[in-house]
Amino acid sequence: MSRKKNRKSSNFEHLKVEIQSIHAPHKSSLNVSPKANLKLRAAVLLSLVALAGITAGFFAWRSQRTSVEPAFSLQGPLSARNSCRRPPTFFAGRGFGRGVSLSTSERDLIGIAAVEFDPATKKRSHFWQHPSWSRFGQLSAFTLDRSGDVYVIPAPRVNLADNPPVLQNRLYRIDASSGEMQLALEFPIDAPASARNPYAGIALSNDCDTHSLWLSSVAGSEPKRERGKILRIQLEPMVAVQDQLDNFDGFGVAAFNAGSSLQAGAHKASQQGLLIASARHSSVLLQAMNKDGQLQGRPLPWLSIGGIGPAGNDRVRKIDIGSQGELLLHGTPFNFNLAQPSAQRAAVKYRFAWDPEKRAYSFVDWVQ
Amino acid sequence: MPHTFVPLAAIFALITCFTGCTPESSSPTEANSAHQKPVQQVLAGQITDSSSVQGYRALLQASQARGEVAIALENLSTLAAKAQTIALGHEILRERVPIGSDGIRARLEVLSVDRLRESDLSDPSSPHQVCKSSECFRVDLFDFASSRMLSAVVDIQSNKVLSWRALVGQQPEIPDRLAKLALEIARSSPEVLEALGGSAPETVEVLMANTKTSLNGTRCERSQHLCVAPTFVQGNVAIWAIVDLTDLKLVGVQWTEHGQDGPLSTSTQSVPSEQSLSDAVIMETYCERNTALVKLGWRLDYMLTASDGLQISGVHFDERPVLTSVKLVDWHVSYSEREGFGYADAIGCPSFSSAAVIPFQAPQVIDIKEAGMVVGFRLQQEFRSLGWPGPCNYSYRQSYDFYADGRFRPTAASIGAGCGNDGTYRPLLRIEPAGPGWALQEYSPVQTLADAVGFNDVTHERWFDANGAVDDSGARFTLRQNQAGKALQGFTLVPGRGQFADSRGDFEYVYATAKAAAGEGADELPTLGSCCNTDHKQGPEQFINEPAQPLDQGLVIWYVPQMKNELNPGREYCWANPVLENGVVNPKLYPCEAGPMFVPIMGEAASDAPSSP
Repeated sequence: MSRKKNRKSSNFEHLKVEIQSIHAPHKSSLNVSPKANLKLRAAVLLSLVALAGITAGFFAWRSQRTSVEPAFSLQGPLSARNSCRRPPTFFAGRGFGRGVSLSTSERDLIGIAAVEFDPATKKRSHFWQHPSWSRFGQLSAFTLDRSGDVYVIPAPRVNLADNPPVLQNRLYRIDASSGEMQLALEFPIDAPASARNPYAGIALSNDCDTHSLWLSSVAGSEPKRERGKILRIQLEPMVAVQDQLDNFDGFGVAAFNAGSSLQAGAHKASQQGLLIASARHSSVLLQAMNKDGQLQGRPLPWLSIGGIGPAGNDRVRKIDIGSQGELLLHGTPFNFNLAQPSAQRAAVKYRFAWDPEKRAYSFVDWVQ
Repeated sequence: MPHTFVPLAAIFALITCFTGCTPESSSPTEANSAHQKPVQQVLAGQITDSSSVQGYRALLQASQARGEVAIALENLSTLAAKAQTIALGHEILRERVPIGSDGIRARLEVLSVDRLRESDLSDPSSPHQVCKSSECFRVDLFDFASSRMLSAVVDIQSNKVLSWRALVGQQPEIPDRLAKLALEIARSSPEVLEALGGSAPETVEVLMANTKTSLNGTRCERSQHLCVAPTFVQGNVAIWAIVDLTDLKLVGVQWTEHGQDGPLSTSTQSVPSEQSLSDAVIMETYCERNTALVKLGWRLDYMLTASDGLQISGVHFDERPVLTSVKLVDWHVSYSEREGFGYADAIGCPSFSSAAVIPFQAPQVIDIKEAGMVVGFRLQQEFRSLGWPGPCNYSYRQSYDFYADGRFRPTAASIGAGCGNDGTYRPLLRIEPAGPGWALQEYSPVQTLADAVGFNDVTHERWFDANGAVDDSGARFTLRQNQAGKALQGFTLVPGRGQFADSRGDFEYVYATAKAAAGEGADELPTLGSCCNTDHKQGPEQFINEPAQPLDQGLVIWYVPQMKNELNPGREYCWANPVLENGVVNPKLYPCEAGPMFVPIMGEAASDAPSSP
């Protein structure tokens, strides 16, 4: 019998579990098309024959294979791409103070509501709903854009009474000034939500750099078949899907920039990408994309909250990137059913920080 | 010759590699899994304490009897033993470890005693800076009642405890005593014996000598207990067991034959947890296919649905078709002091379902005994919310009782613990008798314009008000099947009026609806009716057509009992309380159960039973 003895893991005052960025050399050919790959191989083969150094050539080729750079290695801490969000103006004149916020998790309210809480009692002191806000059943994730428009997706809570499965692949828009909520888009799905998987959209975030939204959908997924999608939805001139990643059940999603270089007198990010949490595991994946927001290749495993936190198997439902590049992952149980913790229970927050020496993110702590 | 052979061989090898050895070719993991047989998983069945567990319980009892606050570690160095003594003698510990109503203190065990290291003092604001010039130890304990680590820093020069810390959500290292016990619980279980093909090592020592054994951390996410995963490889079989060290029992086992690829590798096989193992077994075995059950003259299939609970189908008694199916469509929970406040909960599969309350364990089949004799059996499934028995979290129990004399009873029970003492539970049972030709009669105790005293025919769809009258035998309805003028079988329907266990009466609404071609609710029903109606509008009335259809071509009975909870001490009903008992916290259950007993009408079972459909 062997048991690993590691005092550091029980040094709770300085609890710090390291999560390394994953360099995946064997995945490095992801961006190389099969045709280009064949051409490369033929060229190398001809060169080797011409040099008649077959043995040396063979080892040279082997060497070339293993020395390819990883597909995506972070060049610095992450910076968020959602800082252009502006508050809507429909709050004005409705008696709210500075503590007003939007909520889709009020136990006694359907849809979305503007709410304010008494700081002393922590109880809700004031709320308001536009008549259109409760017409579309229970809602879940929402985000703001640079105009103050609110985008929100439906998701059932406890039961399907207010959320018929056929109406779940929808994105709604709330006008920043009038507060009117309307259907913005029925997003594409491979199969509709059902009693066996009542969810479609489950996470949403804003990408200021491309003026678009990122949406995770798990519609139609089955226990042994991922049919989810990550969608980039442009907001202008009309709301429409611009890019998508298929057959992947994602949860929290956040666009980021990384690295910085001086270009034409201004700092420009040298890397763009997307953090995508898995809806099936406790992991967060790193997805490369170009400056136009187009996805490049498939997402690669990056970090995980598996084994940490109160349950050890939370899923990351929301990803926040702080001003200093720190990561805040909001964890929650999720098993493609309606047995989630009550809406009032706060998510467990897992903090990760950039370690400049290791050039990687490290786990700091979790709080509930 | 060798000089020409080598380059040619190299060219061949290189060309072969260019056509076949791509960088994306199968990874070690994929290659490994290709040789491996599928992973097999099983949950622990009925548990009886092994001799090692009995011995450990005796150790715990002896420690309690001596008034010790915790089980101490033995064979420590003199200094470490001194640190342990100081920590266990600290007043705060003794004051804050609760004692249960049975007089037994919460179970605490020392896990480790280690010297404080230099790196532990690197923070200048640490309260332990004194340890730089003194001699300090960390004493880690596990509180099994609260599932938390307690960690004391002890200065053995000043004989003081410098600090206490409580930590939840940590996977602690466990001492050899508990490690050996975990291995023994796994080794002696019938599930591991099955995984090993019936030849388990006779002792832990033999196990450790003959197998590659290790002890991994794992989680019991739902029970929140301290669990570990002994893993061992014997011959060609790699086994992961999950052992609950709070309840001292096996949770389940996962195993695989690893073929020629060598021993267990945690890089290719993740350690299962209580939840992952339980969900995988339940999904695979009970959500994706029917399970057949044949017992005491009964034959039926059962499976878990996505939102309609545990469904039985194809129910036969003495080879006669009795029921097409029975299921529990929804639980309605309303709170009388809060208008319109409540929930409509579906129960069903643990994942990929629309269930709000899910099974943590597999269905169970339990003998029903009267006067020591087995007279029937109960097929039972429990469902729980993740936070049960906390406030506004629920546990439901669905059961089917079958008796050797032909009686049967579908039941639904709530085990709390709702959002207050004003809760009423209304489960929606859908009961579909097999085949056509069924005739329903309702008992009337008085003569009316429409009814005579006794049982009167119900020919068309309708609903029946709560708590209707019953005859001397307790029957409210009769249900008879006739075909071609010949009586095939018949039952009286006896609702709960307080005569059954865990019941204060059913106060049932009943609905009789015609079996339509569309199924009349036979398919998976997402959410039926409102949570909070207090009248007959619970959902099944939607299947009563206008005009009401005749029932002679097949009918469906919907049975919606009403159970009002109570929290008064000594009178608890539909409730559960966490209670510290025998050193650990377990919920004390106060179920409320309802459901009609179907009692065969003597002499109405045809002797020439029709063949099964």
